Amino acid sequence: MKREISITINGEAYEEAVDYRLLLVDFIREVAGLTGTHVGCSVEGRCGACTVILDAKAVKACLMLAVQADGAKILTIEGLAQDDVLHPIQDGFWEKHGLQCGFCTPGLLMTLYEFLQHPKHSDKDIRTAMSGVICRCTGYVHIVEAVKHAIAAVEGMPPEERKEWFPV
Amino acid sequence: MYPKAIESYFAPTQVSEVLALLQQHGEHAKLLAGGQSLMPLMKLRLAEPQAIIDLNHVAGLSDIEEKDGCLHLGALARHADIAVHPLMQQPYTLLADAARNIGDPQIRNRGTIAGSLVHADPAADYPPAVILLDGRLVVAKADGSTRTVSADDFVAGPLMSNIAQDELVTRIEIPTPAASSGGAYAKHSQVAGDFAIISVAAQVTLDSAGRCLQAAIVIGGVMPKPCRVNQVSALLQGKKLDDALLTQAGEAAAQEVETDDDVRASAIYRTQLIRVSVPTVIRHALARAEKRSA
Repeated sequence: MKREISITINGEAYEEAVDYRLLLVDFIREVAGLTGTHVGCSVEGRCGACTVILDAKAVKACLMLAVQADGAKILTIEGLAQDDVLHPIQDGFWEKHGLQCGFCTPGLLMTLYEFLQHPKHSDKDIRTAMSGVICRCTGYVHIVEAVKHAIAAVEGMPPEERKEWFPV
Repeated sequence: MYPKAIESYFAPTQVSEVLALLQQHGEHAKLLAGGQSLMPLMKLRLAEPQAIIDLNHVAGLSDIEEKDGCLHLGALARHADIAVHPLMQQPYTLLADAARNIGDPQIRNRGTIAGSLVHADPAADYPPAVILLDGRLVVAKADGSTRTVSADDFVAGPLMSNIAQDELVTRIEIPTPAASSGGAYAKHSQVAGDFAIISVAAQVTLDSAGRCLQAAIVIGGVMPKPCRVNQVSALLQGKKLDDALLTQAGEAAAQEVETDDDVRASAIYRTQLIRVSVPTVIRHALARAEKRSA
């Protein structure tokens, strides 16, 4: 019923013998203690609040078993900022007031982390990119502004600086 | 809700291992590909597998390549990879359209084409597209043999597919469409990323004079499975596809396809969507065919 697994989250390896049925999101929250990754809908994976970067792809951590992620490298919201400097996508949300209650924000930021590596610029493309995360507060207008702010920041960076912000 | 306790989890690396595990645990096991439908079913306790056979470590199941006049899609080819693959730009644009329409970016990063076809949700995006393109599934059996089955026969009904407990879909083959051919797929859904209320897949092949040599239309989102609209094909064959004819095609499709009421939409609304969507999607397929013929 249990298996010993090792998952690297934000550069740190977490090892634990877990039940096969343990969801990845609960490994992140309960085993690693990183509670910035949220659980919203918890069933169908529609809300997207649990989105993390797994091996360079945005995935919903409630739609995977922890045992599936054995050996994987994961980036969560806690790993975005560097020391006290916000990641460009976080800075965009800060500058453009891209959140209200903040519950969906970790999922949005991780989803957009992948998008920002090959960004498209139209409102439609931005909205399509974040269609897997539901925000019940903002109506998305300020979030779209925040993403545009982040795209401009990322595209204005020299390549080496850009790479530092997108290690995976 | 939480999945019921799972007794065993396997992460095989070879197809032969998967088949051996299926023989051993078949009745109580579930194959885990992308998991984007299976995990919700397990949380709702609609699926309660005792054993999980995780396919994600099996070598060679994710390749996308063209050979012997066919597109070969590995069973584990992800929607996101199919959506942007260079081969999809032409001539398999219809498949890229379908892949792009599935769920949302996160779902597309995990979900797989064989997973979608085996799950056989009547409102899913791949089944109408693969049926329209005369796709075939290659199925490996426990005794080491394989069988090939057309997607139309494979997708049997709502959440029912033609596969035995000890079998594994290893790839999907799509015959390369003719050079003067173009395809398109579109759907109507209530919100972004949702399943289809109805969807339309169309492939149009032109003759040297720009007339319709062959047209194939499949409607998804209807019961019990995606429906080929043969009357529309007959109506369009040999003719120039002008607006008046396409309006007639929409009308013919609306009359031929039976629709039902469900939680997503009423039967009458579905029929109206078919009436207006069929001309639009054929027009899109036609534009792509003309571009390729030019």
